[in-house]
Amino acid sequence: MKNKANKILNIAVPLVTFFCIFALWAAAAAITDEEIILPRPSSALKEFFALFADKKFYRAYFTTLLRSLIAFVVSFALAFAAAAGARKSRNAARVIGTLLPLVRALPTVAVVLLLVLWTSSRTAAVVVTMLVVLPTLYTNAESALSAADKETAEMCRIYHIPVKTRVFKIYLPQILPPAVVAAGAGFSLNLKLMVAAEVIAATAEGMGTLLNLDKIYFESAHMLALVLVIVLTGILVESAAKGIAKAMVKKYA
Amino acid sequence: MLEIKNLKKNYGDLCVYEDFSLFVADGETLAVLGASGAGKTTLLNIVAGILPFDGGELVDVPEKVSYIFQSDRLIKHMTVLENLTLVADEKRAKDYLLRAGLADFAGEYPLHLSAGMSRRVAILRAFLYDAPLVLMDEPFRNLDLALKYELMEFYKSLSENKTALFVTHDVTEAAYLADRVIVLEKGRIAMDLAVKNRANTEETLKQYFFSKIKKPQ
Amino acid sequence: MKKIIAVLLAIFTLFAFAACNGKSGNDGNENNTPDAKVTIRYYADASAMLPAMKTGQLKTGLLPEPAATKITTMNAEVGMKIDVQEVYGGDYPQAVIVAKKEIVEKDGKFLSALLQAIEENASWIVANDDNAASAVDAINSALAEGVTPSLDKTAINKAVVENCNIYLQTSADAKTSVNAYLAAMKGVEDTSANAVSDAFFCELSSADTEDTAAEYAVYMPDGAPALAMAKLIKDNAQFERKVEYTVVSSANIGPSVVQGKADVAVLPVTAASKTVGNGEKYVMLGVVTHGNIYVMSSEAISSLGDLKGKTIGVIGQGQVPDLTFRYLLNKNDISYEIAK
Repeated sequence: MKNKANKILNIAVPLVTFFCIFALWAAAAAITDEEIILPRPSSALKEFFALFADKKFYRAYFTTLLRSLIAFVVSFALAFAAAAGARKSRNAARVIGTLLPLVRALPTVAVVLLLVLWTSSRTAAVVVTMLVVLPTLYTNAESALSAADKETAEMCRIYHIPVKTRVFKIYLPQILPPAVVAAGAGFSLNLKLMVAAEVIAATAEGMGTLLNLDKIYFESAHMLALVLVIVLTGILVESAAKGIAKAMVKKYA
Repeated sequence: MLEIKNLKKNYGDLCVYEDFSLFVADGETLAVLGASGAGKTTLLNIVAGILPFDGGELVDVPEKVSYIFQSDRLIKHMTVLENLTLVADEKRAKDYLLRAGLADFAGEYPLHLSAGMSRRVAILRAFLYDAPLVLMDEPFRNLDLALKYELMEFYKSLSENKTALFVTHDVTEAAYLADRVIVLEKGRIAMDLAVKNRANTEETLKQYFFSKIKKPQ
Repeated sequence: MKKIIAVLLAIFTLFAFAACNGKSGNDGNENNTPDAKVTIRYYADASAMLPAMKTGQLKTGLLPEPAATKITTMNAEVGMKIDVQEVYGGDYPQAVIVAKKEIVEKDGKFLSALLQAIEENASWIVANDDNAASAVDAINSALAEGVTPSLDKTAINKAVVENCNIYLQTSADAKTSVNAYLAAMKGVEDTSANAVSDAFFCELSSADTEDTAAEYAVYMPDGAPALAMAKLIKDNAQFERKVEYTVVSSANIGPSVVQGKADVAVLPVTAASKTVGNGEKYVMLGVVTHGNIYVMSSEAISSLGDLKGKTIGVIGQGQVPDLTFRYLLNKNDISYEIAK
């Protein structure tokens, strides 16, 4: 009985929440009565569906996604390499301990603008996103690696299991599911940052560019539609990651 | 086989072993009993080489040492067979599984096995590794009596001429499996018995522990 | 593990394919050879592009005055090669002056006086170098909080101001050219401009209402459009009312109008068409500045066609100079592509 009630609530409550958000939005838009300042939900949704027929949108969308993927993969690899290095060598840990707060404290906007001068807009966007996500991913990597638990490590040492086997057959599959979930959540942040970086760096292509143009052309409804796309993408990736992680452990759990 | 000389081990301010010496003969199964916190697992881990110590020396510790842990420590995402092939080649692993009557479980995952079954696999792994010395840390803990006897027999069937050092709380286990029993108290050997008769040894040990109980005032 | 790498590679390839597919640029003609394209490289603002031109890294750039003359002082090899207005076939409207509709109804006389002053300003600022300098001073003194001045007194003289093409054209006279220009811009980028309604164009000739107690906020964006009002700011012209002049950054002029903060505003004609083009809240009184874009280069260029196979820097993707330039490229059948 309770189970059924819970299942219904799991779907009903989010739906009601969304409905309330839309209702509030519609009310606010009606009161403001200026499409440029606050578009009505209906116009935003109309623009949203129109995006799917727009070739320019797909180009921009996949450009941003591609950049986000690159920044993410590089950052991910660096984070794990750094975390592994820090576990092995005290000095490495010291170096990372000094660099990490530095990177974390970097003012994003300033870095973007500097990088644009040194390299190009799109390189700037990718590098900045990579730098900003790095500390978060590093912390995730650290906890994932230490979760590769002590007991297993001891067992491996005693039974003289070769390092390569330990890394690829034991630790990696152990770390992968939580890493995938973290990656899913991290990608959302990544995407958000990438779009912001594109706007600041004024890249010639991408979602940020589209948003910039929308600003210049006072196309607020289109802007909100793009925002919706970004939000949905983030949610989708996060859910997909959770699903993948679940599928990974299904066999043996 | 193994000799521990004048071992010294501290955990911060706490001195676990001050000047501990022990000789273990080849092929001997030695049970180590003692109160919780007396340092039994510490001793095992030092011999296994995964815990550093502060003084004394270990003589003739073999390079290869097997260890049966308190928890199974099987790799959850690997099948039984894959777990075993971590320590030996597949042919021997399959052979052992067959001899142990576990061939049907070769493709199962540890989380799908019963407690007794996964413990059997852990024990099998230790012997498959084929080391001259087997260390065991309360390997039959938390199992019901029938299962316990079953596993102890399983162990005995595999352990014919191995030297074993095993830690336990259970005097019955100690009497059942060991050739020799020592009782640790505050980092020293308080009792050192050769097991000639299981029942007698068990009784002697029980008496000893009962005498240690502080009577309520 | 391998599966994951395989999946990642697949996704990567898919994204790359989708992203790189399709052209960025115009489609060009079939009989154009591949190396005959103009490459447009966008820069976020002048501070990004001018250094590149100074070092010669970028040889050609599309610049509005006064930045156009400024680059010649930074790099002596760069000269004014093409007058874009000539290519267009004459002047085109750039910034317009709009006012709240109710002011036209209630205080038409004020607006007439205002326009009169703007007309006088146009001849004043090109009279001599001193006037040009004091014009810049006046503008910089009226900057809103936090706005960094874009006009540099030392770089602006009479000749530069002349190139800025500042003169008044009332609605009636400007109507045709405004509609034509907006249509041209809309042809390049559909959402950049709207066709405006007839109600947007306002003729003041019959306005004789008066409201001497009124207070007005006049807004304008920094840069050449502000020069259209320089003398009014300098004299703090009040027109027997209470008038406050504010110079905002070009990014903020649109919001100032949309939010209704400005009673009278100067803003780009394209922005005006998108925000107030229906003539319901604001109406257009006239055009105050006209096209002022030039192709500056250190290479031998004399026509748009000479740009084929070359790279030209453009400030502000989607802004008016970019749209105007691309309109002319399309019109002259010159294909272009956007540099990544």
